Formats: sequence, structure tokens, C-alpha cells
Amino acid sequence: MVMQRRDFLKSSAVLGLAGLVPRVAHSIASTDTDWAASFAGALKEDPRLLGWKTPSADTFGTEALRIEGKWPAALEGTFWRNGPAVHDRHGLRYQHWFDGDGLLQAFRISGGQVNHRARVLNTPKLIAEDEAARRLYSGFGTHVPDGAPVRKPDDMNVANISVLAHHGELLALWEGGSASVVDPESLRWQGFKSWGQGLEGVPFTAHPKVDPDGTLWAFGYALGAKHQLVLYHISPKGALVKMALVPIDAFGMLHDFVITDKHLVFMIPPLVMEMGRETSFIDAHRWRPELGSRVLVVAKDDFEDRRWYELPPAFGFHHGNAWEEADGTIRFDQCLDDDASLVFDALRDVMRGDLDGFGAAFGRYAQISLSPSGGASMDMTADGAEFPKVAPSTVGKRNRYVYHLGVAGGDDWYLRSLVKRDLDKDRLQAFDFGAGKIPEEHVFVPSGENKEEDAGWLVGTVLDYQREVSGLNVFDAQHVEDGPLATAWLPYPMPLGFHGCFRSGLV
Amino acid sequence: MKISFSAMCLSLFLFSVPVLAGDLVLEVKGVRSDQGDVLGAVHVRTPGVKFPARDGEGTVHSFRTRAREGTITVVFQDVAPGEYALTAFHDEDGSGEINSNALGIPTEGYAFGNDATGFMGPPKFEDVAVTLEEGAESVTASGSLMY
Repeated sequence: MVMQRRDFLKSSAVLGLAGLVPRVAHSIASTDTDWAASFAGALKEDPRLLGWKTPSADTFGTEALRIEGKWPAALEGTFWRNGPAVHDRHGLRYQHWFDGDGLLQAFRISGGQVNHRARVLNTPKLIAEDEAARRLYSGFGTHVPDGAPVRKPDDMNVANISVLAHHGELLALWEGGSASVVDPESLRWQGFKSWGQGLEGVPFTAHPKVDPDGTLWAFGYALGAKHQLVLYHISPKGALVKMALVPIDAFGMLHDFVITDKHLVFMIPPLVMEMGRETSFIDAHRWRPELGSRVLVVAKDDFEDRRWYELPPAFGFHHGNAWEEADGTIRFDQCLDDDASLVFDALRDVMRGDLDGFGAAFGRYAQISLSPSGGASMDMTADGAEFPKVAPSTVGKRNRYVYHLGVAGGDDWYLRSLVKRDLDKDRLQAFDFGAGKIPEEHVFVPSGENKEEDAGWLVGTVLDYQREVSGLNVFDAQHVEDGPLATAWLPYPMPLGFHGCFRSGLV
Repeated sequence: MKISFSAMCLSLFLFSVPVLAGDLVLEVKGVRSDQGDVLGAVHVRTPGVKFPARDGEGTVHSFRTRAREGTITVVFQDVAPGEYALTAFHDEDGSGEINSNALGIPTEGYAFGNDATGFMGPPKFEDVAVTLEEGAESVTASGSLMY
């Protein structure tokens, strides 16, 4: 063997690179409280907590669900849903709603009949833990004592936030690392998605946006020695067109964004990942209201063309839509709260059965305006709102309607109604599910009957925690206040999850 | 130069024999396939050089061998007493370089001695290094590849 200087250089080049991966370890001592016992005790008293109970199996399937009402014959396809589900495993209950391993669900709708499949995603993370017969990886908000080191983000990828069907591929979405390719038939995890050479393991949002022509826009946040925003431009055929890395000071978790026909818009809350402390992912963040919120606007056709706006401090997860006026003014919406107590406290407390601060921590519907002259304004309503959706044909264009979950009364503990918000007439229609039911995100599915923006259905799930079953609702989007046209009932409850999508075919 | 090679052991002897020298045994565990090569390097504490230097500064030994699933052992004989830190990677595509993504995160398996890990950065030299004591016959530096 001949030793060459070249070999020295190459083999030692390994070293500087390893350091860029944040090692996530957490400060909460899980022995402080027995979260599982605390949750089990609370569940006996409060049936609402069924939504955060780990399902009794890793896979579920039911043919020909019992349908209440009349299912519209023209509505055929597959409704996919994802969310955290495995909150308890190997003797440990997670301590944040966002930690649980993902459960992918498929509702296949054909001939007026609905079939259901669900499977806990067999990620490398979960497989390693099952082989070890213990939890190995700390998560978003849970410390796993004596766990395995996290050397890259995908080591702890639970693929549990959303699901995207794009160019014939089904992707289970997380946001701290790669998207996951899933077999649409078996719902088995198949591999991490790479959008191209050098993009293996680069974080990819749970909220990519799709232009009406199928072009996919996405981002990722890479937190480390320097914080960066990753931008992706992906063609309708799933090929990477371009990507960019944007250094961002005082940056942290960023969940969603919006697009107009010309721009990508990022509302960056003053939630800042601070290095140098060995603590949990979310606990490594600090709320720094003195920084305010910053809005980054990036041109779709040139990722180097960027401008910034400033707004008061606010925190939110989800946007509905954005568009540009003729004069260049950008308008968008978001469900916003004054601070990030939702993610720090309420979404954690629920895991030990404490729902006291839950409802109050959710955001309100807000509209934001960015003027070409550099001014920005924010108009917060008093309406509790979450999981906003718009018609896919209006993404990036002016939309008249946004559909979201809302509170139904003053004493609500959580979102209880499905709301259709008419932005032109500043008018709301709502259906109150009533006590005993918890609705989840409902997506708009166009019926294709006519060009009216609201010609179509709203499709989404509901948990009936008194009967202990979940169901799939379909609403006529033009008559939301009338309640669901039909509900297909499962013979079992599914844990409350996050996001779904509808496709007219298998994928 | 004497080289003995077996399925699991590659023995190298590169430097003149100092007094009180011993063997430095390098073990790279967890090689997942026979594809490509395994490259390794031995670092010493070097004033003015931050471990692990990208440009190879502070590296006193290195090796490159065909990958074999399981554990690869390389012995450097008659090494002077001192502190030695092992780094290695599995060059599965045979490019001669470690592949990494746009964020600089390695996309091929890599290892540090003692399986040391860092917090928001590479592990510290003292956590990776083993010490070959004066008069000792050998010391083993061992690390597992993580993919």
C-alpha cells in the first residue's frame, strides 16, 4: 500500500463536516412525572383525551365503512392523512404532541363506498427502536435518557406531519429532515426522498405549495452553527429546477409559508434556536419578542431577489393563501397568536392529560399586507382559527373563500366548528359539531361542475370521543352550515393528527 | 516496508522504529457492505490546528482499504507513545472523497474514535483520542461507522 498525501487529505476531510449536525438532546427529566400514568388517569375522567391515546395496533383496515347520510356519487378518489400516533412505546410516553411516530391513513372512495387503511410508518428510527426494544431517539420535545446520538436529522425522522401526492409519488412529510417515500398501496415506508445530488437528508417542509400547473415550491430550515433557509423549486414532473441556501440570523422552527404567482413569502416569528445549550429541540428555542416578526419575500424566478419586512411579534403555524394586487401589494393570512406558548406549553401538557390551557393557546385568523414601498401591516381578528385551507386552483391567486376550523362559543376548549370565511363579504358560515366531536382539517375538493370557487366538497375527519370512533366527513362547500352530507364511520378511533390531501386516483 | 494482509487485518509499518514504540491498532466497525473503500486517518494534537482540520493538518497516519462488511482492522507498528485520534469513512461509491449534502452533512458513513459525538460541532480531540503509553505493547482506537 502506498500512502499518499492525497489520501490523508481525503480521509481527514470527514472531520469538519460532522459538526454541522445539531445533536438533539433534551433537558426534561422524564422521571419527574410518570406521563403515561398521569395521562391514563386523566383519560378516565375526560373522554376528549382519546384523541391523544396511542392506537391499539400498528395497522388497521376496514372495507365498506358504514355511511351515515348520502355520499355524493361524483366524489371518488383517495383521501390521505398523517399525524403523530405512537405516543407510547417500550414503556415511554412522549411528552409533546409532535413526537409520536407517524400514522398514515388512506380512505379510498369509489362507487359510493369508502374503505380505510392505516399503518404506523416503519421509519428507520422506529425500526431501530423496535429492534432495541426501547426508545433510542430524543424527539421534538421529549428527552430519551441514554439514547442513541443523533448524527443527522433523519436519524430521528418520524414522518408524522403531512402527506403529499406529487407526480405519482406519495410522500409522508416531516420538517426536520427528508420527506419519506411511501408505497400508496401498502402504506409502507420505502425510503427517504432525495430531490437531487447533494440534497440527501436536507430538511423539507411539511407544507410545500403547488402552483395550479403542478410546480412545487418548498423550503426547509437547517439550524446549526449557522442557520439557513433552504429553498426548493421542483417541476411538475418532480425534477429539481433550482435550490438555494439563505443564511438567516436569529432563526428557528418555521412550519409553513405561502406563495403568490411571483413570490415565496416567509413569516419568520421571533422564535430563535440558540446554540450552546444542550437541551431539547423546542427547548433550545427562545421567544424573543424584541426582535419582532420578519417577513422574507423571495422572487420565484430568482432566489437571490429577496426583500424583508417587519411586523410585531407573533407566532403561528398555518397560512391559508397569498396573492399579489396589481400595484404589487402582497396579501396573505395566517392563524396567529401573540406568543409561542402553544408549542412550548399547551401541546406538551396535553400529553399528560392536561387540557386546561389548550383552547386559549390556539391562534386567531389574521390578515397581513406587504406594500411595495416597504410597509407592512397585520390585522388580527378575534376569531379562533386553525387548519386553514383554500381551493387548490386559487393557490397564489386571490381567493374569495378560506375554510378553517374555529371555535364555536366562548367556553370552547378546542376548535369545534368548520368555518367558511368569505373574504369579499367579510362573512362567516359555520357548522358546529357540538360537544362530543372533535373535527380535524378539512380539505377542499373541486367538483368540476362549474367554475365557482366554492363548487366542490370539504373532506376531513372527525373524532367522536363519546362513541369512541372516527369518521370521514364530506360537506357541500357551498352549504357548510348545513353540516356534512355524509360521514363514513370507522369501527375504531384514530388519534388526532394534522394534515391530509385528496387525489382523484390512487396517488 | 512489511505489509501483511488478511481478511480482517491490514498491517502497516511505515516509520522508522523509535525506542519504546508500540502498536496502534485501528478498528473501524459496522462496515455495512463490501462496496468501495474504507478510508481512515490518525490525528495528533497539533498546536494551532483545530481538530479535525479539513485540510489534513495534524494527520500523521492514514489508510485506505477495500471495504469488507463487518470490522476492518489496520495496525500501525512501532508508533511512538502519544495521543492518537481515529477518524474514518466508508467511501462506498469509490469517489475518494466523502460525499456530503448541500448543508455539509456527510451522506456516507463516518466514524470517530471512541464513537465520540459533539454538541453542535465535531467531538473534541480528547474525546476521540486514545493514549499509547510509554512501554505499552499496543493500544486500540476503535469507532463504528454511522450511516
